[in-house]
Amino acid sequence: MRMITIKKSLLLLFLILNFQVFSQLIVSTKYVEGYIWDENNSKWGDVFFENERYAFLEFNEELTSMTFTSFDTKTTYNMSNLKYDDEYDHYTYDIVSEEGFESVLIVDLKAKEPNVRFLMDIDESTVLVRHTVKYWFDYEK
Amino acid sequence: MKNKFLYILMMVIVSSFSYSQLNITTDLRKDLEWNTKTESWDEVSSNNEITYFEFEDTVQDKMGIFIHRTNDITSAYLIKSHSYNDNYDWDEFEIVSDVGNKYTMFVKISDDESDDFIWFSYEDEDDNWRAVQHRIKSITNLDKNNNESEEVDLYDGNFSFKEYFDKRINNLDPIEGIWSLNVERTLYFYDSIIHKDYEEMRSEWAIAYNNETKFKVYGLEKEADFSAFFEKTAVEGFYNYSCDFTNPDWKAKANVILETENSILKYGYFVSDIFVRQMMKEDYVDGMRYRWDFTWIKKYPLNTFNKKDDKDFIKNEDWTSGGTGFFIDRKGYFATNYHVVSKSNIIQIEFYRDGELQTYNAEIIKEDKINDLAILKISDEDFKYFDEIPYNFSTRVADIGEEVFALGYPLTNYMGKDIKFTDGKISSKTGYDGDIANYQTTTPIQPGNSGGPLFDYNGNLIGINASRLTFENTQNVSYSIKSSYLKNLIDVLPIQINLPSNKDIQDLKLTEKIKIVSDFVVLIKVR
Repeated sequence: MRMITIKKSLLLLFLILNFQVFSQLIVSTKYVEGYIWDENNSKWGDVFFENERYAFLEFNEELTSMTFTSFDTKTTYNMSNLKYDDEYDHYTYDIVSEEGFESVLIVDLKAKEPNVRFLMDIDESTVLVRHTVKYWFDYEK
Repeated sequence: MKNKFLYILMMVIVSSFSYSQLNITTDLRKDLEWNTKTESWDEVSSNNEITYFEFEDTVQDKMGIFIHRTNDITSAYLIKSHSYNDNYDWDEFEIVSDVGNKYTMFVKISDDESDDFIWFSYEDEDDNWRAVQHRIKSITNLDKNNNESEEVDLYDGNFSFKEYFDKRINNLDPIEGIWSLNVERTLYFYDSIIHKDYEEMRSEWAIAYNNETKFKVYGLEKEADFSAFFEKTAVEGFYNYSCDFTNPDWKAKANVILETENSILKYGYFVSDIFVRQMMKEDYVDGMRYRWDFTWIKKYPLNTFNKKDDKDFIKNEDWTSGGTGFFIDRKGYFATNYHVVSKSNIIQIEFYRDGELQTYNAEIIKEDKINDLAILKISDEDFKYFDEIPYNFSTRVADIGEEVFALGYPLTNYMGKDIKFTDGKISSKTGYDGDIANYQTTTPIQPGNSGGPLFDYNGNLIGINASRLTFENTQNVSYSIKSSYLKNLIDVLPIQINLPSNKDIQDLKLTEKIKIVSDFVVLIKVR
């Protein structure tokens, strides 16, 4: 437990320092996959769509908003309720789009294959949209 | 011309109300370095590199991102700012690449189309200014509503299908690409199998645009000794295949389904008796039949299905959820699942009528929470009644094993707003946990299919898809509410609903049935 607390603290410190020193985190993605939660088997189903899809996630300095820009869409999300997930070593945010669409953003940059995931409820199903990260960097204006 | 680049993008929008894309092809790359002494650019190198820039019109006002494809790499660039330079008559963009490199990009498009270019300049690690100039060869407006493309001219030397598909990457039909062909051949004596063999990855072929609705099969190395075409039908994912053979002369025809995210084509047919006789020679006996079953696996390009659908993958700008519904009366009454509209303040529906997209507001007339059903009505007064609803509303209970199909708008965010067809069989007359109100079917149902119709192959409505799905390996288990439960709900309405009883479509081909009834299946948007 102590190790987890230390680890969590270090990561948060890293995150805070990272964004205090630099101005803006940008994550670029190159591929998208979609999954639907299979309630009966309590697992994610087979991928139901996948595609080359380039997109950028631009986080503001305070990590309170994120703009998602892809080839054909641009949406800004308000972010709140930052949580660090000990078990999976990633960060989650509750996000709300400009149109009021709620979802959960999971930023998993430490995974073997870094990715960001959008978790949302659509039509009584829980859908996971996973964007494979190409690169992430700090953008100085 | 002021702000020419944006002007062209605007023209793209004006010329097409739906999706359009501006593609710029460049054919000469020059690498340059700023000479501080002469205060001019020195050319370091140049080559005839062909590259492609893709700009999307829907983000023109926000100038979101663009894609640059070369032979080696595909990169995305985020546009951070844009301005127009009067002095030089070009557009300037501050951009950052998907690996974090910053550039200033200049796009020069002149009226006489000479010396047009796209220019990237950047400061290297030694604080030297460098630039890459791409000479513009052509600018193409790709209107996704218009599938017209250039006719393929093959075997003209160094023609490369891969290059050809790359060039048209965003305008490809899902069937276009390079495919490997697997063939299973079965020799029958009447219904008994005499011999079966299977050739895996037997050969590679290209399927490419030929004319308005047809796609031709091409040998990759040399022209095939047959003439084969896939022809589009009114139903997405369905094609008619025809092949003319010579020596001996015979023709093959088959209905083809493009499945598994448009990466697998499947069909089969019994070959002509003439061919069997020629093949078997003296071994031929009356009653011999020979069947070929083909499985094509797409090798290139990857995922054009989603590439295409991505064009419709525009964020839900005006609704928070949705589903599918279908008209049950010519006066604009339609049915769907209760859960599709249960949390709605505003309900809108979209459907096609005489080829034109219609959008109307709707209101709930009656709900049945227990059976997850709802009946709604178009509330806009300008809605003109249909002459007739062209299917038959059946309350009979379908048999196990009966073939059925569903129509709906699953996951419009990701799969586009075109109506989707899926088919399967009735696997049980009861639903989850023995629920007698439901069928269990093998029809793939995804979120957004909810509330859509389930038809038998005679075009009789027999159920309402309920989108309760599981994925268990590759076996889909879906549930549809029996139409008799919808009939019960209709019966308690205080108004008269004239349920459809048209059986004219039952003798039509499946593709024709689907084409007709699709116009009466609606996309429901809720906020």
